[in-house]
Amino acid sequence: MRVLSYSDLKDEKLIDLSLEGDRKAFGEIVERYKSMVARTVKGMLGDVVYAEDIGQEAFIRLFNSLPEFRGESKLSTYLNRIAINLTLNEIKRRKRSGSVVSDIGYGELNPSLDVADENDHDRRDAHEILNTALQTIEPKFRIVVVMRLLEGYSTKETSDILGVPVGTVLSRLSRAQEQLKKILIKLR
Amino acid sequence: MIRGDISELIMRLTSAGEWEEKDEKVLSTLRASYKFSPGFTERVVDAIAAVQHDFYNDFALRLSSLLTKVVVTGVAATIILAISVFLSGGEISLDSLLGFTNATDESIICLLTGN
Repeated sequence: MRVLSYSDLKDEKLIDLSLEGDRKAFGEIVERYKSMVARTVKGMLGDVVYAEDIGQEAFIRLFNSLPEFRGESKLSTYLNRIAINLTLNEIKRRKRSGSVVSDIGYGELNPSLDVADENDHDRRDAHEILNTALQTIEPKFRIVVVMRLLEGYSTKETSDILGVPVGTVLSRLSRAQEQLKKILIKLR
Repeated sequence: MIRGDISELIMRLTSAGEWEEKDEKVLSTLRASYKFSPGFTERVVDAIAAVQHDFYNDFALRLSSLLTKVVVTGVAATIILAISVFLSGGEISLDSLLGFTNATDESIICLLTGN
């Protein structure tokens, strides 16, 4: 008989185990969704040092709110909402305090991108171009692009997660598209 | 995968349906470039353990402080009661402290019924 490992367990079971104090079970939740949170947080903030802190905070908030999680939405959706709210709050906070929101410096801030082979070079190039372009548009436009492009959500799913009508998502995508097109031409 | 691919993706942002297969290929490479540094999971689990530890330590400290206050207040109240009983009656006993002095069946019925 094969022994089940944590990676075989469904989210619901991992939540139950986490609530019973099983840290490895929560570790599996983190492992499962850290890429998703990284895309949301780093897509919104860029490759800044504090993006990792925001990601960590999102998981801590998730852990603390697990007793209230009723499973009405998917765990990934619930977690993404937390990450989005934290990220938007961080952008507002930094804007208020006048500190820089984006401080792109991939080589030193994201060692995983500092590689030499050709595929990774292309990937880094695309990553840098997209991040540079994203940081120049307003957060309300940026978030819909991140949801659609990096998270792969449909416009309907994006509207559900952000709590805005589909029409608003589409109009924001359209505005974002116009702005990004202009920026990408400048970046040539 | 460079600027041209990204521009194409941006052009198709507003299409409501699924991404085309060639887009998905570009997107999966792009998505994979967004990640946290190694050891992220361990750091999150450690941070949660630290928060929980702090919570339990804080709770134990608060409970201990509360119990100390209750004990000190109780001892002070007992001493004040003993002094007042001694001053009013000239003597002190367990019954007088507990308020059982001259307690008879009749007086208790009178106290309870008012007759």
